[in-house]
Amino acid sequence: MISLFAADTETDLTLETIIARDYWDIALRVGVLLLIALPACFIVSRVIGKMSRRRVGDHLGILIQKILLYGSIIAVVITILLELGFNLGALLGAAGIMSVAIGFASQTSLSNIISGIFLYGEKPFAVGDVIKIGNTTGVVLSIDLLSVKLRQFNNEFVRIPNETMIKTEVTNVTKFPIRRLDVELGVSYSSDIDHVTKALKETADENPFSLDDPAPVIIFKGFGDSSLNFMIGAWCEKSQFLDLRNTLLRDIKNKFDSEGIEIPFPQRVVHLQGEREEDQGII
Amino acid sequence: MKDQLPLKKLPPASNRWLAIGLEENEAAVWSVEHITVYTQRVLGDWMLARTESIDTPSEQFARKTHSLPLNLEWKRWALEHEAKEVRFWPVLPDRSLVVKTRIPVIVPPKTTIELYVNFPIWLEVSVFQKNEYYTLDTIVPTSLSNTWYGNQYEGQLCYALRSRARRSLEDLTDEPLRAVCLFRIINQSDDSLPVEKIKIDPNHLSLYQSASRLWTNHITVTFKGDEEHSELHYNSSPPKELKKHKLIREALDPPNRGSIIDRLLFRSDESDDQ
Repeated sequence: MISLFAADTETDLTLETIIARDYWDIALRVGVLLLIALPACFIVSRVIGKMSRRRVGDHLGILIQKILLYGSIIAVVITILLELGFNLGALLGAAGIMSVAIGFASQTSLSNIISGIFLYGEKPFAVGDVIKIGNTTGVVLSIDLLSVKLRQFNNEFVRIPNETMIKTEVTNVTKFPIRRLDVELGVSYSSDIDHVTKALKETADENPFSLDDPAPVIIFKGFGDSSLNFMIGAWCEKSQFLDLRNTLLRDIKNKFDSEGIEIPFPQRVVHLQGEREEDQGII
Repeated sequence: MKDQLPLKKLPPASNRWLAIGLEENEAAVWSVEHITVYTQRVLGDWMLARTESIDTPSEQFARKTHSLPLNLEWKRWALEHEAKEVRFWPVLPDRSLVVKTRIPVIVPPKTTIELYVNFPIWLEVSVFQKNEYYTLDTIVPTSLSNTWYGNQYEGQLCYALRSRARRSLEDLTDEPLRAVCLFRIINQSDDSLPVEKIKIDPNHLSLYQSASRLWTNHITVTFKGDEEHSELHYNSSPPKELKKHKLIREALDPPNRGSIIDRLLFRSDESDDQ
């Protein structure tokens, strides 16, 4: 009896030991995955993302980094679930049923993802470009699967869904290396058109930010209500656009002042019917 | 301002670029054309200020001084190693230059001509420490306007340089902050060649000091016709006519085996944008 009891105890202890050892093994493997594999996902995706950005540009580099990160995290999570003994077949079956419901619920997200893929393919802009969408202008911070993130010049953060980017007219302000600043202005009807044109040309030539070549464009646009209308288009290197705008407007004002060219206020000549009859009576 | 130390007037050109040794709490002033640069050593640091005058002073000088104007805007450099010498040295602009002649020069077929072009010079102020010069500042005496070499989609930001493109050396006046570059233009084609603009990379140019002025290595432009490849050579020496000269700044990217060939553009591309 004693020996049987002893044998039973020995058998129980062995099973417990085995079970405990299994738990410890599982815990160890899950721990390793959590402590090593998960941080490794972040590190490896970041390193490869950095290398990709150098080779294929920011746009595609960020995409590669994110696909790697999310893909590897999903792989680690699946491995952990398998280690913990979950039946993924059942989970996937349930997911299949749920995916119909989720599909209806996530139409917008899917639309954004597909739009994001189009954006990646079309490449209308890249990270670091300045773009304008509607009333929003800002520097592109990232182009993600669901949205494009912008930093406006007043340091506000804007998230624009990719679907909107596809549907809306987007202006890439810094796509090309040089830009033209167009300034429209009116001068008094008493001004000499050639004199004004010459003054504007000299102003652009003397401005250090205005490019000598391509030459500034000066156009006499026509006869306004109160003024002769001109347009001056001065080219500059894209990073000097603000400098040009700030200095050129000031220079035009100073030049007009020194040359005696008047920038008129809006004027209306009003004829009063009664006064005219009275005048006629006097005559 | 009255200086207590005797003036050290500079000869017209040969000693315009020089180094001055300064002890602790000593100051120096360097003046050429409308630019005056002040420098002083204070508690081991170097300080630098500059002024510009509208009228060009008749004298050029470099000297130690005991009195400094009060309203100077100083910049200060805290150096790790002791430096006892400041150097005022010429340097070419940091971007490529697009040289345009004020009036297009037409070179007849099978003709070689020479043009003298004045390049602007910047002033580099550096101090000597640990067996080499450390640049404190580069002073731009005359700001140059920008120009674009290329088209609306790609190109390079350059400085625009309008030149009279003189035919004779005698026509050139001694401008201290200019360096003369000789262009030899060879038109080997059967067509006339209108020279409107040429892009020059200052990285291929060295500076030489002659008795009267600064020179760069000379440039040979060979035009073989619109259909043929034309060449621009940066020669590795100043013109042969310059007998006595001293190399005072070597090109950052010196011409190898006698020359560097660059792409050449003679005519302006007309923009159709309005």
